[in-house]
Amino acid sequence: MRARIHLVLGFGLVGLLVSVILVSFVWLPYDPLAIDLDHTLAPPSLMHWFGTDEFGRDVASRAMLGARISSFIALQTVVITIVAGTLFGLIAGFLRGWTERLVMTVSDALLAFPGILLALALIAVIGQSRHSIVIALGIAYLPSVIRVVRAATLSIREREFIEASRASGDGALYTMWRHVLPNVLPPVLILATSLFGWVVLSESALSFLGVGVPAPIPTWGNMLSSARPYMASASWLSIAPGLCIVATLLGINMLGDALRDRLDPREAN
Amino acid sequence: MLGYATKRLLLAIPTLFLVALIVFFLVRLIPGDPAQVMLGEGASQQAIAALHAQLGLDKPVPVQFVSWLGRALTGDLGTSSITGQPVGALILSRFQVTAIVVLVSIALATLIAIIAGMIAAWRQHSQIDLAVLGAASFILAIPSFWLGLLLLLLFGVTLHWLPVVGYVPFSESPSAAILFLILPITTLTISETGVLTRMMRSSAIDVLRLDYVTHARAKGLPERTVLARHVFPNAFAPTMTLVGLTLGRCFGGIAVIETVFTLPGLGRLMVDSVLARDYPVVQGCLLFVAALYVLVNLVVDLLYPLFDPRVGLS
Amino acid sequence: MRKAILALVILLAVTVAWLLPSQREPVVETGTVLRARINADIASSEPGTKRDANTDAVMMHLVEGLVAAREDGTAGPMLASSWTVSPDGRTYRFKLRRGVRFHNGVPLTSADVVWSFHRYLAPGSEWRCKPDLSPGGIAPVVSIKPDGAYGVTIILAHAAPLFLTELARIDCAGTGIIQRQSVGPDGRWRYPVGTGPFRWGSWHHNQYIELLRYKNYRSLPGPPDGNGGGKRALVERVRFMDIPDDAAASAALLRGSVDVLDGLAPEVLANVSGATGIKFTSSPSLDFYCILFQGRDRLLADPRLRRAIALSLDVAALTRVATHGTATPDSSPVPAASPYYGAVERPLVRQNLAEARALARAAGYRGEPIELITSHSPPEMYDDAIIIQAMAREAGINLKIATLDWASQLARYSNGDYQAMVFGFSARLDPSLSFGLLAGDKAQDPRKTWNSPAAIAMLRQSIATADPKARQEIFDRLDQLFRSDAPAVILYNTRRITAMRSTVQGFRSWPAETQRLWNVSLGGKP
Repeated sequence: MRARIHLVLGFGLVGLLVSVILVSFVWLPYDPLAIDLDHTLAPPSLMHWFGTDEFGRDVASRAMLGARISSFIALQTVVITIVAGTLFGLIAGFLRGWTERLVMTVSDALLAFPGILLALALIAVIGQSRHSIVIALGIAYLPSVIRVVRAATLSIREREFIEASRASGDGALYTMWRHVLPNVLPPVLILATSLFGWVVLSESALSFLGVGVPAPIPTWGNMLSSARPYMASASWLSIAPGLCIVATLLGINMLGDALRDRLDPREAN
Repeated sequence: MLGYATKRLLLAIPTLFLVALIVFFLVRLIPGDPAQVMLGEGASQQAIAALHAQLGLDKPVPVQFVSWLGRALTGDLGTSSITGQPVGALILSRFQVTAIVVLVSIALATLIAIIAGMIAAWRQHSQIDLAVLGAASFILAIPSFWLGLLLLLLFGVTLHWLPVVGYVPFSESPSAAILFLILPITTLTISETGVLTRMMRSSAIDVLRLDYVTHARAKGLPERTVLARHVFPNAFAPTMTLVGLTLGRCFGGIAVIETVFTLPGLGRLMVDSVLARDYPVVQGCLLFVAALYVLVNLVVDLLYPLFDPRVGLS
Repeated sequence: MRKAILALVILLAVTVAWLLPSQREPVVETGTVLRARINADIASSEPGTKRDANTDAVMMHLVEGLVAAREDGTAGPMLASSWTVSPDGRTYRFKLRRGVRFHNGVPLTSADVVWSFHRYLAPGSEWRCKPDLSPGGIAPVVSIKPDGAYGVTIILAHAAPLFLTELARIDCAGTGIIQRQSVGPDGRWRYPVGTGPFRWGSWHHNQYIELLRYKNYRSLPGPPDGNGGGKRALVERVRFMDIPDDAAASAALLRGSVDVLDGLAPEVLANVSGATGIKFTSSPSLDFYCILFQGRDRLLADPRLRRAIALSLDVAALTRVATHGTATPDSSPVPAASPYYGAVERPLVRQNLAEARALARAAGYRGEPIELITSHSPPEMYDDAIIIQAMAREAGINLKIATLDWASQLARYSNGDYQAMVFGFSARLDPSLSFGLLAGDKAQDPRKTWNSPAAIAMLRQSIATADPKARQEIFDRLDQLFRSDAPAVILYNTRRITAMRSTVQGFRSWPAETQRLWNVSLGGKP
C-alpha cells in the first residue's frame, strides 16, 4: 500500500533523529563549545563535515548536540501541553454546560496573550533557561490544544454510537475513555506532531528576538538565528540547522499521519 | 443567537479584566526601568527620579493600575512614555498594517488549504495525496524569518522586482502600498498553509468515510455536490477552529516578519515596547489584542453550528 | 457554504487584479532626498534630554551651540565667534556672530542664548549635562547674563578647563541654542527651532524623520571641522529611515533604497563589501568595549582573580573575530585614536594562561561559576562573551553567560547588580571622560567599578589641568594604576564603518561616531 511510504519515511527520519541523539551522548566529532579563532567560517570539508561557524566551532557537532536539546525541549513541551490540553478539552467538550464555560474562560484568558509575547515576558521575568522556555511555550500553546480537542469532541459526541453508549447506561467517564477518546485521537495526533514543529520554530523565533536558550548551548533555532548575517557569505551555517529542522519535522509529521491512519478505528482495510 | 452572542460578550468582560491585571503586573515584574532606558546610561539619579514622577511611576503599583484602568474604560489608553503619542491612535495605525498582512495571508492560506486538503483526502493514498502532504509538511517546517529573508534577498536584491524596505499607507497610495506588502504576505501565507492543509485533509478523510456520504453517493448525487455540500461543511469545522487560532497567533507572532520587512506593524510595536519598557503601550496593545481574540473566537463559535448543524449553541 | 467559498474567491480575484498592474509602478519623490539610516526611532525631538546615539546624530543637524566639537574633539567656535576667559578661569565672555537667524527667521541674540541655558538648567529639566553644570559638577554655573545684544557672560563657581568641551558634548546636543517658538504657548515642547543647516520637517514615528534644507543658513567660513566649520545643506531633504534590522538595512542599501548606511554592523560587512555601486569610509571611534567587574562581589573583590581573567584573554584574536576585523584592540581606557594614547597606553595585555591559572589559585578560586552578563545589542557584545567564556575556561575560570535584553542589562549596570558584564561605552571626546566612566565613589554612584581614592584624585587633577603635557603624565599614571588594579578589562575601540552608494559625495566619518549629512550631495557617477 502506498500509505507505507508515510510510515517508512516517517520512521526513517525519526529513527535517524533518535540515533543521532543517542550517539551524541557518547560521541561527538568535536567539542561543540570549543572555539578555534584561526579557523572561523570554514566551508564544509573532510575535517568539518558542515564547516565551522563564526567562532571556529564545528557545526556538525553543534547540530548533533542541538538535535538533543531542541528535541527534548519540544518533547517536554508537547507532552505536557497535549496531556493537559486533551484532558481539559475532553471534559469541556463532552460535559458542556458550566464545566465547559469555566474551562473555556480560563483558556481564552490565556489565549488572549500573543504566544510569543507571553513567552518573552515570562522568560524576562523567570530568567533564560531551558526550563523557562518549556514553561513559557507550554503555557502559550495549552489553550490551542484545549480548543481543538473540544471542537473535535463536540463533533464526535453527537454520533450514533456515542448516544448508543449513553443510552445503554454507560457512565460519562467510561464513554469518554472508551468511545470519545479513540475518535479524538486522530486530530490530537496531528496536533501533537504539528505542535512539535511549532515549538521548534517558536524556540527559533525566540532566539531571533534574543531570548532563546542561553549561550553557548546550541539549539537548531539559535544556530539558524545567528546564521542570518551570514546567509549569503557562509550559507552552510543556515543550511545545516535548517535541513535538520525540515527533516525532523517532516519525519514527525509523516509518522503522525501514518499512525493516524493505523489508529483510525474505522479505517477500511 | 443574539442572546448567545450577548452572553458571550458579557462573559468576556471578566476575562479582559483578568488579562489587564496580568499584563499590568507581569510587565512591571520584568527587570528594567523605563526612565533609565529613555535617558540612557549616563543619566543622573535626579533626572531618572524626575522622569519617574512625570510618568507616574513613583506611585504604588495598585494605584497606578486603578488610575490606568479607570482611564482605559473611558477610552483613554494614555500616552507612550517614549514618544508621547496617544496609545489608542498609535495602536490603530499600526493595526492597519498588521491586519492587512494577517487577514490576506490567512485568507489565501485557508483557500489553498481547503482546495489542497480536500483533493488530497478525496484521492487518499494516491500520488497527489503524497505530494500535497509532502509539500505541506515541508513548508511548515521552515521558520518564517528565514523564509522571509530568503524571499527578500531573492526578489528584492537579486531580481530587483520588489522593494526591500519601506511602507506606504493604503490611504496614500493603494498600489504602492500593495507593492510593499507582497513579500510579507507571501511569506506568511506560505508559513501558515502547511498546518491548515494537513488539518483539512485529516478531517476530510474522516468525513469521507461516514455513512451519510456513502448514502449521498448511493443516491446518485454527482461527486461535486457530495464534496461541496456534504463533505466540506463538516470537514471544515475543526480547520475553522484552527484558522481562528492561527489568526490570533499571527497577530502576535507577526513581529518577526515585521522586523525582517521593516513594517510598522502591531507585532513589532508590542515587542519593541516590551523591550523598551514602554508600559502604557504594552498595556494598551495587549488589552487591544485580547479584545480582538475574544471577538474572533466568538465569531468562530457562532459560525460553528452553520457548518455542523448537529452542534447547537450551548 | 458555497457562498462562503464564492466570497473568498472574489476576494482573491480582486486582490490579484489589484496586484497585477501595480508591479512596475515606482514611487516618485520630488527634490533631492538623501536617505540615511538609524537603527531605532529617535527618542525625542527635544535636544539633549531623552536621547540615544541616533537622536544625537539627528539633533546636530538642527541645533548649534556657542561652541562645537572640532574633528579632534576640542571645542571650537560655532555661534560664538570668539571668547575670553578671565585669569582666575571663572568668567567666560562670549561674542556672538552677527547675522545668524533661526529657522523661523528670528535673528539670534544674546537673549536667546540666555533663555536656552536657563531652560537647560531649570529644575525640572532632563538635560543630560545639567549635573555637570550644577553645583558639585565639573563646571558649576553661577550665572549667565547677556552682555549687550551680541554678548553673553557666564560665570562658574570655580575654574574648569573642560567647561567648553562640556558645552560641545554631542550627547547634550552641543548645548544647542533654540528659539522660543520651539515651545508652544502652553509650555509644551513642539519641535526644535535652531540655527543648523537643516530645519525640522516631519516625524513619521517608527518610519522616518525628514529634515529640510534651511535656505538662509549662515555658514562659518572655511572647511568643515567636526560639528563646526563650514557647513552647507547640499540636498533639499534628508530622510533618516528607521530600519532596526541590520540584514534588512544592508539589503536596502544594495537595493538602492538607502543612500548612506552609517554604523554598518560588522557582521553584515561581508554582504556588502565587493558589491558594485557601493563605497566605504571608516574612522576609529573614541569609544571602548570592556568587561566590567563588580568589586564588591565576594570572588571578584580579589584583584588577582580579575587580573587572571584579563590574562586569560587573547585580546587581539578576540577583537579580530568578534568585530570581523574592524575594531582596534586596546588594553587602556584611553582610546587608540586619542591624542593622549602614548607609549604607556599602547602595550596590549598578552595572553598568559599559566600565569592566569596561578593567579586564580592564589586568589583562592576553586572553579565557582561567575556570571558574565551580555546582550545581543550590539551583536558583537554577544560574540565577545562567547569568546571570553571559552578563553577563560582554558585558564580554569568558569564563566556562565547570561544574555539580557538592553533594558535589563542597563538596570543591572546602573544598580551595580552583577558579577561581570560585557559593556560598551560610546565615544567620549576626552580621556578624562573615559576614565570617568569607570572611576568614582561606588557608594554614591553604583555604576563606577573603580573605587580607588588614588584614581579619583588623579582623575580630578586631570580635569583641573589644562597643559597637555601635564595631562599626559596624569593619564599615564592612571593607566598604570588601572592595569594593576584591573577593575575592568578593556577589550577594544570600535571602528565606525559607513557604506554608501557611489553617487554619494562628501561624506566623512569621524571619531565622535555621529553621521553628518551636511556638505553631502548626491549625483556622482553611479
